[in-house]
Amino acid sequence: MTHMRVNDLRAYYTVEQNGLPKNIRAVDGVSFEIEEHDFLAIVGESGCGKTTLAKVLYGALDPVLSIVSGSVHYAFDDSEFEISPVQNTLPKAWWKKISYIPQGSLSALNPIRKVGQIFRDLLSSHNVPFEIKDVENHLKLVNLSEQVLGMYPFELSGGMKQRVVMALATFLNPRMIIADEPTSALDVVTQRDILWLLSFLHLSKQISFVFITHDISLIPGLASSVAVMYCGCIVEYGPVDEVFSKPLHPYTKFLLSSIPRIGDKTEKKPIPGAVVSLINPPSGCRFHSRCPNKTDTCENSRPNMIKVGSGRHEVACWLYK
Amino acid sequence: MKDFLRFIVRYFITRLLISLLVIFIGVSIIFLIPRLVPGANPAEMAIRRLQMSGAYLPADSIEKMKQALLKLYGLEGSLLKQYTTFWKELLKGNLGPSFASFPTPVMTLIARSLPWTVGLLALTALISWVFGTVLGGIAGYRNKGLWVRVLEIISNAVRPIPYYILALLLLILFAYVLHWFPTGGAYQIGLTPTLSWTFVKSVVKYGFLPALSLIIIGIGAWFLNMRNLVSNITSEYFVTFAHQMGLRDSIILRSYVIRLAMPAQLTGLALQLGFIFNGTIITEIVFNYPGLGTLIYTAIMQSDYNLVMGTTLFSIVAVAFATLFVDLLLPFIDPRIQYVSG
Repeated sequence: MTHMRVNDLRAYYTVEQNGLPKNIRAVDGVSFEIEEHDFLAIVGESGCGKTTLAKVLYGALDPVLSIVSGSVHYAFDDSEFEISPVQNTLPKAWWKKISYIPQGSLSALNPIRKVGQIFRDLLSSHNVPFEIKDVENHLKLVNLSEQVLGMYPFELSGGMKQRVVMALATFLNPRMIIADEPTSALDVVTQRDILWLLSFLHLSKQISFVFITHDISLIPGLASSVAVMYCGCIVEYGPVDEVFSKPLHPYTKFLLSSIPRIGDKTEKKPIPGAVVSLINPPSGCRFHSRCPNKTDTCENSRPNMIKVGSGRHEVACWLYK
Repeated sequence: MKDFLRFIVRYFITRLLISLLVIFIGVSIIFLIPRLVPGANPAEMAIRRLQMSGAYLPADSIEKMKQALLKLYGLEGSLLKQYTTFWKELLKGNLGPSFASFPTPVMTLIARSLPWTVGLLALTALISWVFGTVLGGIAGYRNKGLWVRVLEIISNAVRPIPYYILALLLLILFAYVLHWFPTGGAYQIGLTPTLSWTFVKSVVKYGFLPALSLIIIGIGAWFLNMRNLVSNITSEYFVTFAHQMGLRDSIILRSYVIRLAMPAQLTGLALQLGFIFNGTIITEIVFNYPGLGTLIYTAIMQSDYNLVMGTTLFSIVAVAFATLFVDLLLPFIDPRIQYVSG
C-alpha cells in the first residue's frame, strides 16, 4: 500500500528584498512514492532544499513558505490527508499518524517543563489517558530510565534529549516519521546509537521513515531506498543497493566517492563549484555548471526522471536518454 | 527533600544577611548625607523661619537658641556619637521628632501619609501589572488581529507622553470640564476617616483620577514589555515543535509561553512594589493627594534629618525585601535558576 505520494511538488519561500518579492525555489518539482514499511533516505548537500522538503512533507507551512503547485497525498489505514496549494489537512494527523523528528532536537523541548509533564501535555492534548507504566515502558524502548520523567530538558545530554524526542514521536504509534537530520548535532558514538534506534523502531513498530541527511555514508544498512536531491530537485531515486552499487547521476557518483574507506589511499576530491542559487536556478539541468559530462542539451532543457535497470531505479540525466 | 530544605535554609540565610547588610549600608548613607550638606543646619533653618515670619531676634540670642534647638533635636556631640544614639533609638522603634513640625514624632507624620500612598500605589501597580501582562501575553502570542493592532497603537502612543502631561490632561478633562470627579484631595472635606460607606465611596471617588493616570501609564509599559517577551519566546523552536506535536493551544500558551515570561515580569512587579514607599510626588502635587512623596520632598527642603530618615527607611527596607522575595521566588518558576549558597 502506498503511504505517501508526492506529485510534482513545488514549494517556494517568498521573501522581500529591497521591496521586491523574491521566490526561493527550495522544492522545485519533486515526485516520489513511499510504500508502507519503507525507509527512504533523502541525501544532498547543505542548501539544496532537504529541510524545506521535510517541512513541506510534514505540512508545517508558514506565512513565508507555501506550496506553489503539485501535491502530497497521504493514505493511512483508514484516513487520507492532502497537502496542496488549496488545502493542508495533515496537521489533523500530526503525531497520531505522522510524527516529526527535527534537526534541532536539542532546542525542541521546553526547558522549564519536566519530561513527564511534556508527556502529560502530549497525552491530554490527544485525549489519551496518562498511564505512568506505559510511559515508563515506552522510555525503556528508547533506552531511557524512568528517572528522566522527573528531569528538566536542560538537565539532559544531547543524546538523551534526542531519545526523549524520539520517545515522544513514537508514543502514539504513528504510521510514518519524518526525521530531518536527527543525528547532525551528535557525536559519532551517540549518532550510531540513534541510527540503531531508528532502525529498531522501523522494524519493530512497522513505521515508515523519511530520513533526511547530508551524510551519504549513514544510508547503507539503514534505508531501503534513497533519493538524491540537488537544488530543489530529485536527481536520482532507487533501492539503496542499486544506487550504491551502480550510481548513474554524476552528482551521486561525486557524493559516493566522498565516503572514506579503510585502506583507501586515493585523494578525496571535492565536487567542483558550489551549490547554485535557489533564487535564480540555472536553466536546463541544475547540475550542468558543475558536471564533468555536460553537453549543450544539459544547458538548455531539464531532464525528466527516467526508469533504468530493474525499473525501480530512476535518474534525471541526459546521459541515459 | 531534606537536601532541598537544607539548601533553602542555607541559601535563605545568606540572602537574608545580604539584605540586612544592604539595609544597614543604605540607612548609614541616609544618616550621613543630610548632615554633610553645607548650610543646611536644621537649627539655623528653624531660626530663619522665625525671622521670616517677622520676629526680631538679637544676635546673641540667636546663638543661644541654636544651641538649645540642637540639644532638643538631639544633634549635639560628634557625628559618631549621634550615629550610635541614632541606631539605639531606631532599634527601639523610635525615629525621633520631626524638626520642621517639632515636636510631632516622625512616626506620626509618616502614619498620616503612608496609608494613602500604599493604598493608591499598591492597587494601581497590581491592576496595571495584571492587565498589561495578560493583554501583552495575548498580543504577543496571537500577533495578529485588529484589536491587537489597536492596543499596540494606543500603548505606543501613550508611552512617550510625559506622566505629568497625562495627569494634567485627565484632571482638566474630568474635573474641570466634565465635573465628573473632584479636582483634588483624598476625601470630601468634613468627613471623618471611618470605615463607613460614605467615607469609602468618597475615597474611591477622590482617588479615581490619580489611580487612572497611574494605571494608564502602567498598563502601557507592562503591555509592551510582555508583548516583546512573549513574541520572542513564541519564535523559540520548542514552541513550534509543541505545535507540531499537536499540543492544545491553551497548554502551549500557558506552559510553553506565559510561564517563561513570568520571571522577568514578576521581578519587575516586585521591584515596583518595593519602590511604592518613595511615593509619587507628581501625582500628589497634580491631584493634591496626600502621600509620602510630598513628605520626603518637604523633609529634604527643610533639612528635617529625622523625617528624611524615617521616610527613606521604609523605602530601603521595602526594596531590599522585594529583591529578597524575588530571589527566593524565581527558582520555583524557572528551575534553571538554582539556589547556590555562598
